[in-house]
This record gives sequence, structure tokens and C-alpha cells, in this order.
Amino acid sequence: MGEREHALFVELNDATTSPARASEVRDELIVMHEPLLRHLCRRYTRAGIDRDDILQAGTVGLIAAVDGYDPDHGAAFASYAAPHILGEVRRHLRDETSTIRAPRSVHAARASVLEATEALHATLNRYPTVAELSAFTGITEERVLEVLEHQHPDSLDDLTPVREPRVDDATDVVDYWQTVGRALADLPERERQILTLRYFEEMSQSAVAEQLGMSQMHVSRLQRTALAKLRDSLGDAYIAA
Amino acid sequence: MSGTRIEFPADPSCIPEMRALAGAMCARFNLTVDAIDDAKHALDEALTIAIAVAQPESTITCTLNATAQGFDARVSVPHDDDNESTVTSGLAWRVLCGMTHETKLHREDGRTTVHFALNVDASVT
Repeated sequence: MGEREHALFVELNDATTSPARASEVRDELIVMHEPLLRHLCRRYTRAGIDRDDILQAGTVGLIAAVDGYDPDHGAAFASYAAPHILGEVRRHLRDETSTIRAPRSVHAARASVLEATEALHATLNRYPTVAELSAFTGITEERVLEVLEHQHPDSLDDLTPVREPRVDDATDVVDYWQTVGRALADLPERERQILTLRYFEEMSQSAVAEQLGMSQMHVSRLQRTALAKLRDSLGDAYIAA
Repeated sequence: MSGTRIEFPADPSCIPEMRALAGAMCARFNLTVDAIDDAKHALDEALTIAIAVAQPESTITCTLNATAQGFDARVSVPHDDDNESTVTSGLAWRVLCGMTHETKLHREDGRTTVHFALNVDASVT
């Protein structure tokens, strides 16, 4: 923790600090941690959710964290604040589930497209093109593309990190891959298998699907869900060692 | 590199639109749905990497090129610092490399550029 940050928290928690001064200190601490707020919230903007709404919800969590943090407790403020911020974001998402649901028209077409994909795969011995799916189902190519884009996430739980993100970055390559390994180990077995086969054994989606006895679209969906979880659990460490 | 060139804010909220565009471009060239998914996903990863190193409020330049033989993209952004990038030793880079056939990262003149190419074995005509 920086000296300035620590001094502000000490002042905020000092019973002799005047209410006016406490308010100023609180505001400064909130502004100081806006980068942390934005960093945590950006993980949730990917699913087409309104970013301002997410930031607003996260700000509620940040304020609660500033008010509740004890600088003598020992934990870094970022570690203390992250669960508060993400908790408020998830609460908001649960209340606003309609904002991340695929359009109804996409839901209606989805079953047909999935069924056609498997039927054509069996017939052609390869996965179909969008034009072939359109011809087979009578659904427009544009709608088929929409279905493919909205095939995941299936539920809000898919967007929820498997645990709170770590805010301490790995500092060397060995530590880094150990960190990645732990994050992988926290995934459900099937998701872990898919990521291992895809990115460490460099198998194609189709080959993974065949090996695991599932459809390519299912592999695709689980793969994307698993990577979203890793992004959340690893934070900045997802991008760089 | 020929193709469709687009500029947009270096912000994750722009990624879904770019994924949709990549999907539509690949569909026009009759790539199969698994190849389309890989193309969209690879672009997602490349953009995520670029946004992570981008200067605040900066603009991404993205060039996309779909053909019957595959899909390639070049994503370029002014980066935030001059330190040697550790991006290529991270998981996101591993994921990108795992789903594409050629992946490069350049840092030059204050810009970071991610390039990837994804080939399909045979076009469907």
C-alpha cells in the first residue's frame, strides 16, 4: 500500500477526524481506486452489457470497501475491495439478466441451427458453412450468424468468476505458469480438458470434439466459458507473465 | 496487407461488434462454422491483448481479411510504455497461437501490432 493511501485510511478511521474532512478523504480514496474499479469491471463489458451500469454497480462496492476497510488489518486494500466490487457487479447482473440474454428470435432459431449443424456434420463429414445451415433450416444467413454469436454464455453463472480475482501479478515465468495451472485446476474437468487439448496440445476444435465425444458447438461454448473464467480469475496475469 | 480497415476506441466494449464483423466476413467466403468460430475467437484474443497494452483513450487500427483459404487480421495500437513486452509469455498469447497458424507481435515506433493468420485446409465451394 502506498504511503498516501495508508495515511488516508488512517485518517478516515480516526475518530477525531471531522465529518467534513472524512468526506474529503473518502472521495479521494474512491478516486484513487477508480483504476482498480475499471479493471475489474471491464471483464464484464464483453458480453454486450452496458458499461456505465456495470461501473455504477462496481462503484457501490468500492464505496462500501472504502468505508469498511481497516488499514491495520494487514490485507492490501485491493484484495479487500475486489470481492466487494465484484459482488455488487454480480448482484446487478442478476437483477438485470434481460440485458445479457440473446434476443428471443435468436432463441427460437437456436435449436434448429444446432440440430442442423449436427445433421450436416454427419452427412458432410465436416462442419457446415453458414450458407449450408441457412439452406437446410430455411433461416436467413444473418440469423444463423446471430445464433452462432449468441451460443454462449448460456447463463449468468457462465459469466461469474469461479473465485475472486487475484490482484497480485505473477512475477516470474515459473510462478506465472504455476498460477495459470492453479486457475486451470479450479475449472470443471471438462472445461480443463478442452483448454488443455486446444492450447497446450494444439488440437483443432473438431479434433477435440471428436476425442471428447461432443459437438463442435459444445466445445466452442465450453471453451469460451472456460477462457472467460480464466480471464476473471487471472486478471492482468491472463495477458502477461 | 489488403482487407477491411477499421478504427475504433481501444475499449473492450467494441469487441463484440468486431467479432460479429469477422464472423460475417468469414461466412461470405463459405468458411465452415468451426473455422468461423476460431476466427472470431482469435480476433477477440488479439484485441484483448492490444487493449491491455494500449494507451488510455487511444484508437485501435484493425485490418481484417477473409478469403476462401482463411482469415487474417492485424491489430495495431499505440502502447502504454516502452518496456519490453511480456505479452508473448502470457496465457492469452498461448491461446491465440493455439488457434491460429501464424502469430506475430511487433513493437515499433510506439505501437504494438498483433498479427495472426488462420488457414483452412480446404475451402467449401
